[in-house]
Amino acid sequence: MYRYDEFDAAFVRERSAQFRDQVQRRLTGALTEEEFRPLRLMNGLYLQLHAYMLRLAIPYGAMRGEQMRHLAMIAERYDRGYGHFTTRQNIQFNWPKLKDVPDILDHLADVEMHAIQSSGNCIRNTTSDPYAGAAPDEIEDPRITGEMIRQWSSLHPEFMFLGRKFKIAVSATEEDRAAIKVHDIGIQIVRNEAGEAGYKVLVGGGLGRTPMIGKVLREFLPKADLLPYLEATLRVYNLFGRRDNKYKARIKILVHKLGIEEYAARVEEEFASLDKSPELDADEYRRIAAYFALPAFKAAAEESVLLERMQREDAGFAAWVKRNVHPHRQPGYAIATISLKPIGGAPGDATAEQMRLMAAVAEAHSLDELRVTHEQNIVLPHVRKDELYLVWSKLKSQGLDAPNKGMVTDIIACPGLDYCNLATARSIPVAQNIAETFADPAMQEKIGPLSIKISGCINACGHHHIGHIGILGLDKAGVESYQITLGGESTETAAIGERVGPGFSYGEVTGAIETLIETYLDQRETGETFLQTYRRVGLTAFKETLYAAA
Amino acid sequence: MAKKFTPSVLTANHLLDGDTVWWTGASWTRDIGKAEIVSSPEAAAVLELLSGDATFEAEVVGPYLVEIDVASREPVVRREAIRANRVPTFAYIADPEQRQAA
Ligand code: SF4
Repeated sequence: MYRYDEFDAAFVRERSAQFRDQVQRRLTGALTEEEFRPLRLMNGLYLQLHAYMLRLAIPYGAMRGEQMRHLAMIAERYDRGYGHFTTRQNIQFNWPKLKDVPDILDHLADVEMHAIQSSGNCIRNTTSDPYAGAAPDEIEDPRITGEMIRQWSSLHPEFMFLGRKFKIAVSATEEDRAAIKVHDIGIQIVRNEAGEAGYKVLVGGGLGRTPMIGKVLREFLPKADLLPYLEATLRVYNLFGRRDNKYKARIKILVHKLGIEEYAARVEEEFASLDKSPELDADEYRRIAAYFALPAFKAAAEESVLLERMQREDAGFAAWVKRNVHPHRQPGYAIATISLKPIGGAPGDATAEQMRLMAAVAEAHSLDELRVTHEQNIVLPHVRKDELYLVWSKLKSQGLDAPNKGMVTDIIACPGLDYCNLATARSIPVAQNIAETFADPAMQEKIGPLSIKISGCINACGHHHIGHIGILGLDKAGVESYQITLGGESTETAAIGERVGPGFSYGEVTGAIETLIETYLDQRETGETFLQTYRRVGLTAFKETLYAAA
Repeated sequence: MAKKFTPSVLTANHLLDGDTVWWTGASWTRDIGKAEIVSSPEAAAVLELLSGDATFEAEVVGPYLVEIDVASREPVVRREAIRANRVPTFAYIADPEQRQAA
């Protein structure tokens, strides 16, 4: 894991002290709300429906146990005993008080955490593969690149006031677990024909009002060129992107308008004109890479007798292993996902007790590492196979054993109208109703892998466009109306879902999802997933059954 | 045709803790039941004018008028009804003590 150097530590402390002063000035009236608002937003502090909301930055979603334990302490001492893990691999606290936020930021600084650039029109927290450093198929650890970008983009003077927010994701495997195709810039670590590692750079992906899949800007970029190339890409956007209309200000709109060839030509021209220091950047890369050296894995046999035996003896454990455990690069180890989607729970929510347990489990069994996923779950990246049963038993004690990763009940949902100021409809209760409908494990098993994603407004924080089934909550003359899209996908075969037809009321939407799933079960050929069936039969078959009764 | 006026209350979020609050005519309350209901466009206009006042700014953030059903004292729009309840619509996880205090 990366550790702050003196500069990082001083920078975060200073920001916290600055914010304390700004809060004080707001409370004494020296700052008006209009003056204060952009300052609090720069520190991740929003005002939502019921309260303030503090969004932290968790670089590439990676944390140590100590950091998770601090989140638990903050949840308990300053919030209502829980936190919400988001699709941006971050955490949000829903009920902090303004007067407490400076203290919270100080506590975060104690464990190398902060809320800087988690809001506003700047480069936001860089996200990455939650299996980084553990995945058997990765070319190299994408967190090194993520950390390079974090350092480069923090307080970057040219890019603090962009036309709109800007999101970068990095992946290092063919299988895309970081949704890089729907980010402003998506970076895939690849090898060229000479076998050297470098970057494939995508640009102009995004969700929201105008969803788009990113286009290839550069097939292969040498590693040492990354920062100047990003600089050139951002500069072209900053110069030519629109600022008159916030709905047309994202980079995707500019790339779409110019065409990818023209955009790429402008970037290459800008890139050619920049001063570069590839040796320095390569040195910095090596310095950062040292923090991400492989941890001290214990030598172990690939197969674990204990794991095999406990799977035979305990069906609950076997189900969890089947769904939530992923192969690891190191023999004898596995990657385990802790689902934050218990049936009836709010997707992504965890109590302070649960956070503390996850911290303890990570320290004892995952070489002190945890990751937040964009699917609102938590990953233990390095668990010995021999210890999986113990890990599962511990997780079970706090209801963290849901064996549903990637299944119909592993629903992604944004906070929606239960919390969010911008929402047009509720999303969490919709997720809960659907999960309860498909709670039966046998039913989930029958349905197989299926991602349902729900957003409470067009901003698409719930990533509905890239759900196999996407649900978008809107307001139709004062009534919640849910629009359904089908066939979306977030991985290397990313696609934007197609709208199926007129929306459904809050009371109808769960039934509509049931009809869609029944249609899939009727139509599927042996071994097909929902997405495969959808891609084979197309929208019409689903549309016909869905609206048959109407 | 001008839209028919619906009786309204003035709402905001409290500066210190972000809580949803309503104007009683003399102070801010966390209980919508105690809010002053304005029944004419003229009274609403006065209240809106007042909401820009610096003394309001010292205590609350972003005051605005919310239409209300006088009989039930419930806001007409769902968003505002959820705000008035001061908690999410589902049984969310919350520390019981704080929940009581809320
Ligand atoms: S999608 Fe809309 S409702 Fe949901 S969190 Fe984002 S802004 Fe709020």
